[in-house]
Order: sequence, then structure tokens, then C-alpha cells
Amino acid sequence: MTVSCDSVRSWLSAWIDGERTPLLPEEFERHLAECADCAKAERRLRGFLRTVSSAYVPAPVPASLQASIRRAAWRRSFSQRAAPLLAVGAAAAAIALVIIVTLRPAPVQAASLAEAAAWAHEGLASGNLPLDVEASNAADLSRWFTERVGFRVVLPKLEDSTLVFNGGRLVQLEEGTAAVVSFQRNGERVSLGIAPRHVAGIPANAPRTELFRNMQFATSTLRGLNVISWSEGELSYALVSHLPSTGRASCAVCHGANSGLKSVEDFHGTR
Amino acid sequence: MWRRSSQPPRDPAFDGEALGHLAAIHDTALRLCRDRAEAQDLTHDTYVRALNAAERFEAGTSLKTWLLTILHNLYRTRLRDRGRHVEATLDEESVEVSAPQTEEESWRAVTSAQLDSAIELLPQKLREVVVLRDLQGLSYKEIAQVLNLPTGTVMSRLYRGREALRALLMLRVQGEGVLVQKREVK
Repeated sequence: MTVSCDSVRSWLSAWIDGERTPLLPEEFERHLAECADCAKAERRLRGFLRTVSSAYVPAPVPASLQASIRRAAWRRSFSQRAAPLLAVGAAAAAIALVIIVTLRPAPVQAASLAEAAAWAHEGLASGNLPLDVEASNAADLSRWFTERVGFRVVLPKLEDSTLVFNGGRLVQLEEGTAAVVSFQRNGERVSLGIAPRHVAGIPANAPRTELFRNMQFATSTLRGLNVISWSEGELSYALVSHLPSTGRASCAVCHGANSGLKSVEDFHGTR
Repeated sequence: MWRRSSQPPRDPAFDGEALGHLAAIHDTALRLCRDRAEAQDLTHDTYVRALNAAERFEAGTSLKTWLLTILHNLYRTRLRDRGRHVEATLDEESVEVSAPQTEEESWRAVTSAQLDSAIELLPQKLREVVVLRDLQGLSYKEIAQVLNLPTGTVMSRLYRGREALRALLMLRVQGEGVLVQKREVK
């Protein structure tokens, strides 16, 4: 049984285009072999399609259009590649900013030597503030500071077997420069600020004062640290640590057992 | 907290493959718009849209078809936004072409200029399917996807479009006047 001419003509275009049709390929072939009119229609359609195909020349793409699309592709590609890096960079910058803002000791210029020493102690202890100089003895530190601060830096008698020097750092006060000596006493980090008396100032919070051997000692708490301040001669001192700033232990912050001074019990005994 | 975008990275080969279809996309745009500047603009917008939506392209499908779909969608949106319905009001049934019946041998030497001008005269709905099938080589199914039409409609439009184009080409080859009439459909 052969298919009708109408059916073949209806699906001829799709069959030539390689599309699926309700007729089988062999049905087309059989019919076209037997029907001259449909065969002619097939030749005509194939010839037309060849003509169109051979005459078709795509319009040339303007160089400016090509360039603008390539630029768009490049920008898109770049932004996609760079986005994670930019995000990481932004996150790192934000984290760094947070660290700087929150962890860096706040005042660059302290109002008083006590505050400057507390600020430096906090920074040195956390590692956010580096030492300007590393030294293992008082003489070297004293010399190094004296050459830089414009006054003679005199350290109290600190050295004994329980004390280890870390080094020192210069800290700016409102009206001058202070030297901060960093050391450890029995493993506890201690900082000693030294500045000319006339630039040392007074801590903002009201310190408690004690008079001992005609020397006035002020104790205060700054940044959660215990600070003992006093003046001797032309210099003022501020001793900072987590160790108690009152009672006999406070003297041991500075004076070791072999300091040449009497024992702390004696100090308190003569108070 | 920074969160990585959920957008998957684009296949590095995507851009190169998409640019490989630029000539076809531009040519199709030109035959749609029949205006060089507008065609360039439409082509550019098509690529920008495609590049920005690259993650939505389904790997394993035809990128050319996807680009042509974007092109046609943008073109229709432009027509709608501009309130231009000249082409839209021309139904594919509205073209009437009178051409002498001749043997195919007489119009085999068709030039590209003759083909271009004949295609340009086709009503938009017939022109779309003829361009997509006979110039760009899309399958009926792909044309249906691009134009959002049933495959049956694609087949009928293609049949009528080819008949109209063949008649128009014959007229050009034989140097006769083109007897093309277009009427607006209410």
C-alpha cells in the first residue's frame, strides 16, 4: 500500500529537513520513485534550499560591535574571577580594621605617664605593640633611652635573679616623651614608665596616695591594670602590672629580694 | 560575615563559544530589525544579557539556540516598549506573491543581494522561521523554542515562508516586478 500524494507533499519539507514525520523514510522513497509529480516537487524544494544555502552570506560583524562584546565578556569574566578575591580582601581589611581599632591600645598621646605606661604595657603584653629595643640589663636600657628622650633615664634598683628584662619602648606624652621599660618579675610582666616630672601629669581617675619615707606613692587602676606612680628627683615613674598595687606585695613589684633595699616586711614595718 | 556567592562559576569555555556565534546572532538581528544600528544594539544587548545569565544556560543544549531565544525575546520587548506593531500586525497570511512557474534551473544563480532583499520582503512571522531554519540551520524543535510556538505552527509557517521566498526569488531572477502586497490585519 502506497501513501497519498497529499500526505507526501504535506510532510516533504520536514522529511527533507531531516525531521521526524508520520511517514516512514521508505514510504517517501517508494512514493517518490513511483510518482513523477511528487519527485519533481522534491527536486524543486531541494534545489531551492541549495540555492538559499549557497546564496546566503552572513552580514559582516562590525569591528566595533565585536570589540564591545569582547569587552563585556572580559569585564564579566574578570569580575567573576576577582569577586572572591575582592571579597576576601575586603573581609581581611575589615578584620584588620577591627583588630586595629579594638586591640591597639587607644591613646597615642597619653595625658599622663601612668596612662602612657598602662597603654604601653597593654600593647606590649598583647603583642600589638613591639619593643623599640631589646636589652637584657638596666645599664644598656638606660643608655639607649637617654640618647633618645632628652633627659637622663635613671632606673631604680631592679636587678636580681627573679627579674628578666625584655627591653623598652618610647611613648609620646602630651608634653614630652616617656621611656617604658619592660621586664618580668617571677614570670609576671611588668612595665615601668619614666618621664621628667614636669611632663608626667596626673592620671584622670583619682589615685589613692600613700606617703612613704617622704615619697608620695599614688596607686590607681587603669585599663584593668594596677599602677603605682611616684616621683623622685627630676623624674616620675609609673609601674604597671597585674600584681597588687597595695600592701607589701606592691613593693615586690619593683624591688626584688636582692635589691639592696630592706625586705618588704621592713618597709611596711617602718611606714 | 562574608559569604561566598551561591552563583556557580561560569564555564571558562562559555565566552569563547558564545562569541563563536556572533556572526549568526548579528545576522539574525539584522534580518529582524532591518536596520544596521538597531541590529548592532540588539546584538550587544543579547550578549550582555547572555553573559550575565550564563549560569542559567543548560550544559549540553544548543548555545546558539539559547542566544537566539534571548535575541528574539529582546526584540519583542523592544517592539512592545516602543509601541511598534507594524510587523506584528502583518499576518503571515497577508503576503500574496504572484510568480511564474519556472524550472528550478532558471533561478539557481541567485545572488546574496537578491536573497537578502527577498527575505526582507517576507512578513515577519514567515521571515523568522525561514531565517532560523534555512539560514541558521535550527531544527523545528529549536525554532519552536526560540519563537515559543508549537512545532506544528513552525512547520506551517516554514512551508508558507519557503513558498513565498521561492516566488520572490524567481521574480528577481527573471527581472520581473515584485508583486507583493501586504495588508494589515485588523
